[in-house]
Amino acid sequence: MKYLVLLIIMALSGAAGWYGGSWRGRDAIQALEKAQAMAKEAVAERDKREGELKQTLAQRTAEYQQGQAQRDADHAKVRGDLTAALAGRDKTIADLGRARDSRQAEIARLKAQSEQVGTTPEEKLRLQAEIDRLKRDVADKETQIAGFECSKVPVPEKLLTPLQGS
Amino acid sequence: MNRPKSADLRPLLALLPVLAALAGCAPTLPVLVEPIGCPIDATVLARRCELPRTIPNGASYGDVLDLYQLDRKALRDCAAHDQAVAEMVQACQRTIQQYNDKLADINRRNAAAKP
Repeated sequence: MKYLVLLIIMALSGAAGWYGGSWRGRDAIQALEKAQAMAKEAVAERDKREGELKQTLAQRTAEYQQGQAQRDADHAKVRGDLTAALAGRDKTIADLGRARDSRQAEIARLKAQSEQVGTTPEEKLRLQAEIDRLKRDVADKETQIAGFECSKVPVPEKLLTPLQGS
Repeated sequence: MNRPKSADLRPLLALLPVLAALAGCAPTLPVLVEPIGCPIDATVLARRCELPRTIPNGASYGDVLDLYQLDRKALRDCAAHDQAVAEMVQACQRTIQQYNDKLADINRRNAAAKP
């Protein structure tokens, strides 16, 4: 009987403590609920923003990689062109030389035609225009030949050293 | 007055582990929300700009042209990489800023709601 009374008193004390404690902690519980709601909102916002960011970064990465592949392909082509041009420069020089010589022969022929007796002034003007055009073409061919010849020449030390140091 | 024997308290002592386990029922609160990262692709980040090639002594003008072409390609790659990484970092910064603004907004609303 004594133990029963003690147990009842303990139970009542516990219930009173529970009630008092919950009343006292009501503000804290409300604050906790608010903090939970805030945290949930923050997590949802973070997940949304992070998802969008990942999508943006993946898209930009794909663009960059596509661009890189395109640059590699373009470079392989132009590099092949330059290598072929340098490797075949002797043949190119020979071809250009032949083209220049044929134009020079054509210039000589047109000059002779222009100087013939009976050539009208209009015809002379037309022939001279053609001779001038061919001379420009010859000058262009000679410039190209000089350039290809130059590509075989070692760069002088005074010009090369500053490049090596940069 | 008779003191209760220790044997009488044994059932109560057996309850202690159960009471201790009740602490696990307490609500968990994510006090710190993980910040937003900047997950740029690792292979993109690992890539580096190439240094200019060394021009050997006795190089011809043709050799220099050849090296110039390679260096030009490397420069193009470097510029494209630099632009891509810069844009990605800017995207990260924008997102972090927007997220921070949202957090500030939540905090403002919370402060305004206090009694």
